[in-house]
Amino acid sequence: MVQALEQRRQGLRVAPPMYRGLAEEELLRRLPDASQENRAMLRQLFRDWGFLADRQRRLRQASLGQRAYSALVLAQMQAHEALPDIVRLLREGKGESRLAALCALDLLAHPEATDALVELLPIVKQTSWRLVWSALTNCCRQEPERLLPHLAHPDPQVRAVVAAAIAEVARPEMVKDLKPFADDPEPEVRAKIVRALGRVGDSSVLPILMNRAHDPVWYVRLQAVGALGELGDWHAAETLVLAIRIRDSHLLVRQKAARALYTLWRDPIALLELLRQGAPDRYALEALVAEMERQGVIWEAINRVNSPLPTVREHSRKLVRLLVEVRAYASVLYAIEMHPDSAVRQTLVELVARWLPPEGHLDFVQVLASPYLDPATRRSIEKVVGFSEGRQ
Amino acid sequence: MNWAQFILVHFSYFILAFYISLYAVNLYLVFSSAYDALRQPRRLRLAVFDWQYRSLATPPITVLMPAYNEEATVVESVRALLGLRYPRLEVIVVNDGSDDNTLDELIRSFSLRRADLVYEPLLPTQPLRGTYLSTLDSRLLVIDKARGGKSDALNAGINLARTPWVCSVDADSVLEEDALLRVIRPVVEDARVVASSGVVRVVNGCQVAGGRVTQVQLPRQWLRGWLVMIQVVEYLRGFIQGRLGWSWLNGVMIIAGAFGVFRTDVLRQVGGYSSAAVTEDMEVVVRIHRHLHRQRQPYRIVFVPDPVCWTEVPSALSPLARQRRRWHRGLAQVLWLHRDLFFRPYIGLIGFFVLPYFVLELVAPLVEVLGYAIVPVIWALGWLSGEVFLLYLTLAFLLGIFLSLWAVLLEEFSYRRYASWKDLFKLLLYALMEFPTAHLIVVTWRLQALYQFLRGRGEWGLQQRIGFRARLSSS
Repeated sequence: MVQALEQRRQGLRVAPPMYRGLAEEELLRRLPDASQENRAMLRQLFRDWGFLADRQRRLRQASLGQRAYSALVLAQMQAHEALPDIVRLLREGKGESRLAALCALDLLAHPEATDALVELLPIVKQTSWRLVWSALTNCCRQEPERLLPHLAHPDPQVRAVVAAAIAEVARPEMVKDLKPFADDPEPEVRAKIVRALGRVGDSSVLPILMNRAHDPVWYVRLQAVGALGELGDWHAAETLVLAIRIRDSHLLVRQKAARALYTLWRDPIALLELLRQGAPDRYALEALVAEMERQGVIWEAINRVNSPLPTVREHSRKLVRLLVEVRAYASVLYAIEMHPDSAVRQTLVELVARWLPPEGHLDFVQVLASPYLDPATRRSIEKVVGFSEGRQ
Repeated sequence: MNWAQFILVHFSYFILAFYISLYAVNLYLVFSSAYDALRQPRRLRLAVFDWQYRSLATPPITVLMPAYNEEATVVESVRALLGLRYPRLEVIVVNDGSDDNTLDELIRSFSLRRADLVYEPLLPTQPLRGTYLSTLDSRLLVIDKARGGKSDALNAGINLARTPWVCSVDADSVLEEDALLRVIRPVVEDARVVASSGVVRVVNGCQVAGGRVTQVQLPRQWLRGWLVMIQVVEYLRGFIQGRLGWSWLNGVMIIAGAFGVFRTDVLRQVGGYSSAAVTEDMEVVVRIHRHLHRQRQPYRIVFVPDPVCWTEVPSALSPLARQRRRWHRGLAQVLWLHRDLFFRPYIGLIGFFVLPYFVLELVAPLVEVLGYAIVPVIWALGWLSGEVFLLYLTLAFLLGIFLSLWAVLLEEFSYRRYASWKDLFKLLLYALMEFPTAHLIVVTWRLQALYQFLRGRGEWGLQQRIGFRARLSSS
């Protein structure tokens, strides 16, 4: 592809503007799908054919619309020398041209753009903060410490966006500088700093995170329980258990806590035991079971109830037993109806019959109404629940 | 001048004033659509969708698809949704107590397994029978619930959605591959946006494969397809021409149920979709306007003309009549439910301009029919001057035809989905024919709807789905 384009190089240097425009569009069109190697060559062609100089000239001198488009083209071609002109467009532009400059800076991902982006925030905080955040994040990926001085900005909304960028790109050596901002009066800042600490922190941040897990603002608690999970510290488990035991007023916090617990322990049986004994209501339990369902753990256990390996078999059966005992067993009943392996279906009927508490018998009987139930399984269930064939 | 003459002549002037008001607003919509069409090439030049796909600024979305007796189309629709080009996507299909094999089709095709998922009924719904996860694609979640209607199904989906944005689609709709990226673009650019919608176009006649429109074309049959053709023109007029102007004024009142994205928290705050509303898509938008104005929160509800959703429209008179009667009853119901918003300063332009315009739309059929019956008689009796009568005819007929033609021309010169000259010719022909033929039929349906509303009838009309596969084999 590149060789074919190279052959047209000489002709294009003297070609009329319309053909040059078409060639430039073709280069841009091919860029997203090109391999890494071809991408570099396309960018080199862009320079060699004089498109880069042409676009830089337009970025400086043309109308706002032309400048905006040129900024985007240059950014896609990773022309870092265009940075000062794009920043100028960011400051001078309005509406679409400013948005294009933001997008261009995001694509260019150059750390030098950080200050200009933060300067823009007080002006666009109500509207384009998402774009500024994305651009800041990409620009500071290599040098995240550039963001730290801006955390002391007097405007809380500016601090919040800067903190959101830090949450994505923070490094372990920044932990010491980030800790004080976990007590920022602005909840958005607290939430993002807590997230950053969870990603890159060590055991020294644990007290901060445990404290934030009781923050009055729900999304700070949400980030704190998530961060505790990411931290991977065993001490954090207590806080998480507490977070879900106390029946957090917000659904998302409960779910996140369950997910974090599972991330920490990876032992569904121990967790179910713990929650069965300690939880005052079913919220925490259901959140945990939901997370295990999403991770596919329960279905995997169902598939392995007849495993030839004794440890795997026992582990799977124990999990099924716990699910049945706490009556979080919709997938077990579903497997009795629909599982493709008849031996698994039979085993599940036996396990459910053995461990199902008396109040759960009605659920079991309802499986009989399923049109998908095979005759052998149906007979087993009828035997268990005490139906005679004649009555049926 | 006797009293009868006095009343009738003044009634004629009232009709003229009515038409002038209605068309003044329509002319504003025409100009706004023309301006936007001029800006369209520049806007597309500045849109880098490849960047947007990778950008952190693009928020995660859950697509909600209610399905009631949709066994013919549901699997293909879900496959198409999962194939959409969007970075962080979840799909929730809500089987709303179907009597057919909708759920079985889904279980079989996506290898679903029952799962105990935590369900917080933040919005009250009919009881859930179960939730299912796919073993083939972790982004798919299916809810099986007792029948409660489309609003109830959407609310169940909103309860289980975990993303900050949700997108409602119909089971018989086909989204273009990058429709979500395009419809979410205003959200990326402006944090005040709480809802965004795209264009709904007519899929009847197009070729569909793998849940995507592979060839855009009009129905081949000239006579049998006339009803669909007329609806193509109506949809062009309603979406491409009609909604941009409202979007500029932050006065979008309808986000089509077939394709619209909403901020999840805002939907939860306003209580979700109303099961009592006949046109729940309009009612929820009015409620969002009301809520956010009350909160004095800066917000925008926008319409974007380039993301496209293709939908199946009725191809027979009887389901079309039911649909149109339902839409008009829904309009009446929404205006009645929110009558306290009229001329209230706190809600601004919506109370003083947008809602009153919809009242004109509501009573238009009545005024139109009375005009047809009375104005020619008065003119024949010599009570009305020839110039005024000519003005009436211009307003009543020519402007209606002009609006339809304008919509088709706008489509041709800016968005250009129908590529062939033959299709353009057909569209222009049907745009000319629409006003003197189908429009008059629609007016009678709307009158019936008004009568039904006054008598208190507000139920849905059912539409028989043909399904894309069936349509392909028959075409």
